[in-house]
This record gives sequence, C-alpha cells and structure tokens, in this order.
Amino acid sequence: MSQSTVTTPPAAVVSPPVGLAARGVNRAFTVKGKELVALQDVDLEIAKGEFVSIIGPSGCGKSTLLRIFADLLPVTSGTPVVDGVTPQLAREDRRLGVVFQSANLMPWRSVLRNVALPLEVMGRSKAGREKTAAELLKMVGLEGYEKHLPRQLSGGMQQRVAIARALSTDPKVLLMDEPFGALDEITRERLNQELMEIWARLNPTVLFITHSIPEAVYLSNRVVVMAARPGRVVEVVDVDLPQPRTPEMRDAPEFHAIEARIRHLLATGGH
Amino acid sequence: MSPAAKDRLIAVVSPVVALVMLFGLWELVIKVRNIKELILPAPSDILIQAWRTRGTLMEYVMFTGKEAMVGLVAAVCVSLFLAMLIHGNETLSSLGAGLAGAGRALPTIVLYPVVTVFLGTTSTAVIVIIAITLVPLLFGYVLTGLTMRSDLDDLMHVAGADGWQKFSLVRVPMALPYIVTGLRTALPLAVISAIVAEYFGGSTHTLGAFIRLQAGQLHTLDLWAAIVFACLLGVLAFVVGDLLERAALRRRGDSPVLL
Amino acid sequence: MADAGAALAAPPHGGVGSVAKPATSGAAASRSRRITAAWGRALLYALLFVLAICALWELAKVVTQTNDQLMPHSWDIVKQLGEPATRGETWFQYLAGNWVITLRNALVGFAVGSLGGLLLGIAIARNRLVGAALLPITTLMQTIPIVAIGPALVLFLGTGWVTKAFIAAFLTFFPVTVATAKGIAQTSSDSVDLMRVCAAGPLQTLVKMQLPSALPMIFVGLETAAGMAVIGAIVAELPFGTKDGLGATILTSWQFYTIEPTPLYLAAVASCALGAFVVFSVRAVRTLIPAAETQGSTR
Repeated sequence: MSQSTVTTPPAAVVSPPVGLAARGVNRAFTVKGKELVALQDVDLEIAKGEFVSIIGPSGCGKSTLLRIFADLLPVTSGTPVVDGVTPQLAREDRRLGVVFQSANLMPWRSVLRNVALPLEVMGRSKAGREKTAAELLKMVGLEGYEKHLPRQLSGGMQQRVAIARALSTDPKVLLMDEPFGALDEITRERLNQELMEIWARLNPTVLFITHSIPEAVYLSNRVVVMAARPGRVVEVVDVDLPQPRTPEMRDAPEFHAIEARIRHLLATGGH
Repeated sequence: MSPAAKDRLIAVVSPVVALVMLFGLWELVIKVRNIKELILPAPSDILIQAWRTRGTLMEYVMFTGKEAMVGLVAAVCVSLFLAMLIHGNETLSSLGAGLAGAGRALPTIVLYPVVTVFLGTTSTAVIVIIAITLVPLLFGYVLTGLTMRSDLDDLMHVAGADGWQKFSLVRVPMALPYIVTGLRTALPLAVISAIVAEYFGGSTHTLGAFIRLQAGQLHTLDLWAAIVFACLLGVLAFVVGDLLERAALRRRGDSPVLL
Repeated sequence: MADAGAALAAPPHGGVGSVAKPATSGAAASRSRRITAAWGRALLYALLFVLAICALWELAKVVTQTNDQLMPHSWDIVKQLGEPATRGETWFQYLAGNWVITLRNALVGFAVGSLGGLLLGIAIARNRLVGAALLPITTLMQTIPIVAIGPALVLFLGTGWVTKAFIAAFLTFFPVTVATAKGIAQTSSDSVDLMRVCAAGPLQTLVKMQLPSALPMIFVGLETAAGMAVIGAIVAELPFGTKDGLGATILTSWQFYTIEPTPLYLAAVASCALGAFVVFSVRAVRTLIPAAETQGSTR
C-alpha cells in the first residue's frame, strides 16, 4: 500500500532484515530533580515478520521502549531501528501501526470512519479509504458494524476496531501496548486467536506488550523478559512451539514449561 | 402502570405540585394576613398585572435578550480566538488557565459604571460588560477543552498527521463538549448580567431599567410583573442552553462536563 | 497503570504512579509542600493579574491618548487612598469601612445559604419524592435573575443589612443545593453497598461515605455560590435609600465622576478585591480538606 521510497542506510543492513532493533538504548527521565533510569543498555534484535512479546513488572520500561519505537519519545543514547530505518523515518513513511490498552476510538466518528482515520491523514480519497476500512473490518469480524458508533460496541469489539485502524496503512511494524489488558479472559483468548490469524496473513513485525504470561507464550516467537529499576532486559526466551498455534497447545507440557521459565525469570529478575 | 412510566409521571407531576403549593401558600399568607400590595402582592395579582402589561414587557424582554445574545456572541468570539492562540504553548496555557480562574472569582459586573465612563449609559456599554463577565468563564472552558491530552494525540502522531490535522481532527472535537458546556453555563449568566447592568443604570426600555424605575416609584405590582418576565427570559436561556448541549453531545454519547 | 516510563512521560497528573515509594513519611510532607505551592501560585497569579491590568491600563491610555480625566494613571488611583473622603476619614478608611460592611453581609448570607443548601441537597438526594419535586425547581431557580428581586425585597424587608444578607443567602442557596444533591447522587453504589454490608445506619453512610465523596462537587457549588453572594451583597446596596456598603460607594462615586474620577476606580477595584477574597478563601479551605481536593469533573 505505502511502499517505501526511503533507501535503507547501509549501517542498518543486516541479515535477516531488521524489523525492530534497539542497540545500546538508554532512556532517563528527570522527575522533580531526580533522575530515573527507565531503560538501561537495552539491546534487542527482532527480525522482519517476527512476533515478539515483552513481559515485565510495572516500571520496567516496556512502554517506554514501545514509545521510542513509535517515535513518541527520543532516546537518551543508543540507536533504535524500525523496519531498517529510524523511528522518525518509519513513522513518516507510515510503516507503523499502534494499538494501546484503551481502544482510543473517536466517540464522534462511526466505526468505519475511525478505521479510515490514518488513511484520511495520509490524504487518501474518501472512496479508497472507506473501501480499505470496510475490508479490514471484515477481516476483524466486524462486518455490518460500519455505521455503528464506538459506544455501541463492547470492549472486545472496540479493540478489534483499534486493530483494524492500526492495520489500515498496511504497516510493516505493529506496536501493541497491552491491547487486551482490559478485556475478560474469554474475550482475550478469542482475540489472541484472531490476532494470530491476522499476523499469519499479513506477516508484519509485531512488538506486543503484555502482563499475561500465557498470552505472551501463546502469541510469540520469542518473549523478552524485563526487570525494573533500572529498566533492562533480563533474558529473551525462545518459544519452540509449532506454527500455527492452536488452542490445545495451551495445555501442552512444553507450553507450561516455557510459562514456568518466564515466571521464574520474572520472580528472580534473572538472578 | 409500568415502573418507568410511573417514574416519568412523578418527574413531571411532583415539581408542578410543589410549585402550586409554594404559590398557594404565598397567596394564602397575603390574603389571610391582609398584607398590603405595596409590601408584597399576591401571585394572582402579579400574574394579572403581568398579563395586562405583557406588550410593553415583551418589548423590554426582547431588548434585554438581544443585549445578552450580542454580549455572549462577542465573548465566545474573544474566548475562542484567545484560546486558539495560546493552546499550543504549555506555559501560556497554564498562565491563561490561572488568569481565567482569577477572573471568574471577580464580581466583574460591578465594573459596569467604569465601562459607562467610556461608552456612556448605552446598550453598547451593557453588551461590553456582559462580554467582560463571560470571557473568563468561556475562555476557561475552551482552553481546558483544547488542552485535553489523550492517546489519540499519540495515535495521530504515529499516523503522521500535520499540525492542522491534529487540530481539526482531534483537538476541536475533543474540545467540543467543553465549549458547549461553557455555552450552556454562560447563557443564563448573560441574561443575569444584562439585567444587573441595566439595573445599575443602563439604557432605557430594558427590563433592568424598568425594574429600577418601578422600584423607585414604589410601583410594587409593576415591579413584580417585570420580575415574572425576567424569570421567563432566564428560564428560556436555560432551556435553550440545555437543548443546545443535548443536541451537540447526543450523537457522541458524551456526558457534559463541569468545571 | 502502564509502567513508569509512560507514567513519567505524562506529568503532571500521572505522577510517579507505579514507582514504589514509602507511603507514610512522604505523604504528609508532600501534601504540605503541595499546599504551599498552591498558595504560592495563587498569590503569584493575583500579583500578575493586578500588574497585567495596570500595565494594560497604562498602555491603553498611551495608545488612545486618553486624558487623565477619563483614565487617571494607576498610581494616581492608588494615591487617592490617602486623600480625605468624608467625615475626616481618608479614602482608605472610608473604603475599608464599607468593604467590611459588604463582606459581613455577603458572609452571613453565604453561611446561611450554604447551610440551607446543604440540608436541602441532602434531603433531595435521600428522598426520591423530594428530589423529583425540588431538583428541577432549584436548577431553574439558579438561572433566573434573582437580583431583580432585590428591589422588591427592599420594599418587603426594608433597607437594613438583613435584606442584603438575605439576597446573598438566596443566591448562595441554589448552587449549593444542586451541587450537594448531585454530589451525593454520584457516590458509587458499590461504596453505599459496602457501608450496608458493614451494617452502617443511614446517618453513618451519609456522614462517612456520601458527604465526603460529594465534597469535591459541593466545593464547586460553594465556589460559584461565593461569587454570587458577593455580587448579591453589592447589588443589594444599589436601591435608593442605601447609604452603606460598596454598592452605595460605587453609585456615589459614579455620580461625582466628572468632578473626581479616581474614587470610582477605587470602589470598583475594592469590589473586585472583595469578590476575589471571598472566592479564594473558599478555594483555600478546599485545599485544606483532603477529601475535597479531587476535581469534580463530571456531572
């Protein structure tokens, strides 16, 4: 849809191609004269098309990292890479999609016009963007809800709209900050499944922040475990489960073993 | 009868009953205690007098209402302009919010005599003082609305929106409930300010000036008849404001805000 | 709550949210620091406000080339305070005397009206029939120009201070009633259920749960009411035959404006100062009550 015209800087060319990377990233905040280290020496390489989750306690800097990738926060030092370029270039080239914990839909816009918002910002024609939006709504299972207002939808449906909106510009990278955190367990597992199917179909690079260990294991190729004060990466756990994932896998011993490993890392902070 | 229908009936009937009781008591006290009309007339006599002089009084109502409207429109324009000018700058915004808060604490209506020094006891002076009274309130609401921050701003940023897109697609719709609630609050206040200013010694042929005149000549019945029309104008302003707010916010399902 | 980074990135309300901190020692100190900061800010704003007005005044005077008769210099207005007014008093003493009179009328009215408003608000919130009957009426009463009744009340109650306090009370009563009723109605049903499970009586529920949670809203009403009380007290001094108070001072100095312009400005400034004093006092009391501090932001 929005093919890149920006040439990739030579420094960023590595194999496999970089979906997301943090190289020696530090980020500090000054609050009331006190310096707080939100991220310390974070190194992370995520290949194109990979699905990676970040899990960690409150204050470990996972949202900060996501906001750096989204070009919402600058780094104090280090190099963030998004789809082979800087976050700013990736954003300006519309290669990014974000989903937050709250759906953040515009209450005054219909579902269809909410999904079409990023395309409207891009300057796409009304007919074109509404066609794309309708297709995306169909993909997230909301066909027939185009004219509804957000408040007429349940929490899970609103979050589906937010996902469709994030996908509207055909992003290469999808940044998701606890997107299902406010949903009940049943809805959450159903949306996990749907997200898996969307990812398999469009294959974007996904960075997924969550507080749920089963969710992280179920969705991801790899799970990044972080610790707080200072925010840092403790370990990156590989999830060696076959693709595509199926609900039965949640009960498999291998699944539980990985869960236990992550739980242990979270409890000890890697020590 | 269904419980919902019963609730609705209670909602309509009980205020009416309460009002009838209130005025009935008033009427009764006047008649039984034989209180002179000069001191406090009975509601029935007031209503009869109000009906009898409705022609003149309606003329005054129209005039006062017009002053209130023009003053309100002027205040809205000034507030919108100022808030749009500074909402992008955090320091100026917090300063502006502080000044608006301070301005709301002042009984600015008493500045009316000062305004007349420049403009004379004219309709223009009344309009100017109404605007002065309303600007701190409206400006405060508009500024609060325009400076509301949400994840939608981040979303627009990631979507690569430019300044105008952020303003028109997020800022203004986000501010709308605040602007509308400000208007709803300002409407009755505009009427009150108009009457007080006129009462101070405003242009003739207005409700406030008429009230002052009748009070000075001890025409109690005419005074109360004018009060009836002043109340009607105030209630009208309230109803218009309420309907406006409902109409503007209905589609969005927003609840009104209170500052 | 998101993690610290996001919380930190979103001051001022987010604070340090999830970053653990000792709750006991820090809380009291940071609270008093916050109150001091709030007072400092209020004073700063007041000073800025006065200076800005003076500067604008002088600027407007220069730009429009207006003479001293129409627009006296701000310092000349201040100087007038030392000049003799009547009965051997300086303007400062004269104004201060009337200021106190109007303040007393406004405060008596404010106190009586607030008390009445609180009681009626509680009754409206707790009794469905009373609420259905009186809430619409009080809401409407707030919007009618009650000041118009002032002169009628003078005929009814005389020109004494009772009339003025009564008008101030009348204007105070309705906003406080509506705010109290709405504030109590807003108490979450979970909290009320909690009190019921604790076997609390209706009075305990009211005093321990509903009134404290209604306080932010009640203070919004009190603040509106404080401003109205001052306006009411001043306007009540306007009818013929009144000698005392700032309202009468304004009228008198207005009449003699062509002879001596500065007193009118002094009277106007003194009136504004009175309003600011009363309203900011209410705001100050609010900062002293922890339960009242959170902003009542929805209806």
